[in-house]
Amino acid sequence: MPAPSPFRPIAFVWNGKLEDFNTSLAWSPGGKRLAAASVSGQVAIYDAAEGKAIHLIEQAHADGCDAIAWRPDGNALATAGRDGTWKLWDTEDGKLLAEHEAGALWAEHLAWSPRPIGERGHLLALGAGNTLSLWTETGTPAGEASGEAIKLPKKTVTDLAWIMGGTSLAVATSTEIIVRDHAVENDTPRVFRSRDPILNMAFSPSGKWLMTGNQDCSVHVWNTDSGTEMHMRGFAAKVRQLAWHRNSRWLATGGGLAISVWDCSGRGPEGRTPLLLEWHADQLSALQYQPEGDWLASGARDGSIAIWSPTQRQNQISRAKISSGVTRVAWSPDGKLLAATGEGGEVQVLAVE
Amino acid sequence: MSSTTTIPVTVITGFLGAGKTTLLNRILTEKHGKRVAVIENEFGEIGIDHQLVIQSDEEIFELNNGCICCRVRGDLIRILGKLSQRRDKFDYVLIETTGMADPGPVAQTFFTDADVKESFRLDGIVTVVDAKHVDLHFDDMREVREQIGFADVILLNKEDLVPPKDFAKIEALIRKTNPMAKIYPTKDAQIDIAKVLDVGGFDLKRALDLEPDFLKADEEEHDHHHHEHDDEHEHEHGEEHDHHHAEDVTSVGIRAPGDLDEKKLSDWLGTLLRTKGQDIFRMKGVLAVKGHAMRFVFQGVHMLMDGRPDREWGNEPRVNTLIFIGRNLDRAALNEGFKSCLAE
Repeated sequence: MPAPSPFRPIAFVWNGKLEDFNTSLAWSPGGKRLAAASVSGQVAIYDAAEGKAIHLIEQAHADGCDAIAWRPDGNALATAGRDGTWKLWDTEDGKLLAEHEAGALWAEHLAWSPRPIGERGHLLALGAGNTLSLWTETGTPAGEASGEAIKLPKKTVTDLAWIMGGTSLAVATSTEIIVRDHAVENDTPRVFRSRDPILNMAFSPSGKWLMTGNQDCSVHVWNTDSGTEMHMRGFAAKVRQLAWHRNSRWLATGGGLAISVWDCSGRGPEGRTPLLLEWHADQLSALQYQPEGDWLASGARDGSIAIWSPTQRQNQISRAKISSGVTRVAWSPDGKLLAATGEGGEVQVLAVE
Repeated sequence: MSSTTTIPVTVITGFLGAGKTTLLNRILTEKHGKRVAVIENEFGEIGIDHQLVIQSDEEIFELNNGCICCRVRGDLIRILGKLSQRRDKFDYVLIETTGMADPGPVAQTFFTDADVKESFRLDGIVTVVDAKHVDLHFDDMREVREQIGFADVILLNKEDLVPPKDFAKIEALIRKTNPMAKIYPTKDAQIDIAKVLDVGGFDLKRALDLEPDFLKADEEEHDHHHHEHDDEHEHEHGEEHDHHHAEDVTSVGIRAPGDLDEKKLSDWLGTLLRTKGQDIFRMKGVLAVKGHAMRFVFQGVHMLMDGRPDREWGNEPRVNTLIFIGRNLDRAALNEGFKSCLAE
């Protein structure tokens, strides 16, 4: 008799397919819808329970869609792409609500403020080339007519995120991260400068820790309370995946075949040996913790997907595979469903039983 | 999974107004069966509708405290990374740089960045030179000399606007700066596309697929070598030159029979790249190493060197051939260093 599998069975709940490499994946805030977008320019909005494509926008962006973001009310989706525009879509009737020039040919980053900012409501931050701009819920320029466009000379926006309570926006370029609270008039920005070119960033939910993955395959860490910095080297590849546990204690990083999980309690990860999660046989390409749980989902370029409970002795919970390299993984807001997208356009929704 | 083939990339450099965009448009309109993605500089103006045109902003990433040899182009890493998601849509990439761009970081990007290396390979650097104005710019613009020094192919463009006598002088100047490159006189950047694409400028297999007389310019240092324009032109080099040009970018060629000591060679090259790599733009060579039946071929950009045995010498005489192109190269020291590697 074969030994019983130590892994929990995984159910393939439903799947969809876009035409080409999937770039973006996002659950609607309530978890009722799932949106995915691809380099073919397609954007699909699925019913999360049954997988029916409610809207399929064939050419949301010519030459590819690179970013999508649900408006916090869950009734509209912002998209940005390689045609130099960003658009706002009504996700109930599929109609285009607004369309604007993004400021550069490739508009790559979008993020809605999780909280309303004064009378302006929720703001959408858009990064396109070296232009950062802010927009309102109806897709009009926020504040000044210019859409508060801020040019960052010779510095392309590499990442952006709303952090610490939801009114502070962090914008990363290759050389620095600038944090500004948009609820405070003329807030003096906090700047974190990096010696190594920055690829991406992740603030801990508490706001205490700021991590960046860098061009030279290292991870840089700032303790934003004390200002102390740490540097972790030795990754086999660029660390493009940074995933925080909701309690701000654990940070999972990619950068090669193995996942490292760093203990950031107390004075931080420096000098501590990370937990190593080794199973993937190809480069890690996606990592995300459950929003309200302890499980970590990972995807790799060979299509393998794993679910981990990193601090448990039997730390791998479940496994699955899709037919092309994983580009994104995303947990549903309640943590019950895991969505994964592929280089071949796959959209797969899974559930661990 | 990633595919095993890499997409070739040609870099087009040249001073403002030299004819880079003309060449680019020519390549895009010509029927060569290639689907080309174009990365043009921020001021670029491609005259034809083309599906994959991306503008770059020439952002330099400095790694390891900004050592010149660790400078790469962040914009290219980002753009090529995104393009690799659509690699079934194109099979060639052209990069047009600004007139002021340093080709060093562009080339180094293709040899140091793991993600770029996985999907792309640098095929060659094509430099378009304005034959009418290069005489003026050559001395004032370091960038012009650098772009000539880095090139695999040089289009001496606007030849129709220059009297033959002057043209020969210009060609000699370029040839002296870079005897490794193929030089083509052109009008309106009219050139057979096969001469600028798929040239294998960084391909070890074709490392010494050079002009058969590429060392002449160096060996007969004071006797310029010309193509078809040199009939009536026979001048003395140096002080008597009617216009003494900046000579910081030069080449040093070495050709010598004999077997090299492996250890000595590796020590010499190692030290050379470490101490002078900043000034070496390009280098290539075929070496005879004692005890090895195979030729050892190498090529490099700044401190980055790539080398391996390629084939047996067979009946061919075991003659070492090396060429360095760079800034302020010390000819005597290079020759001396090489000689010290000869096996006892």
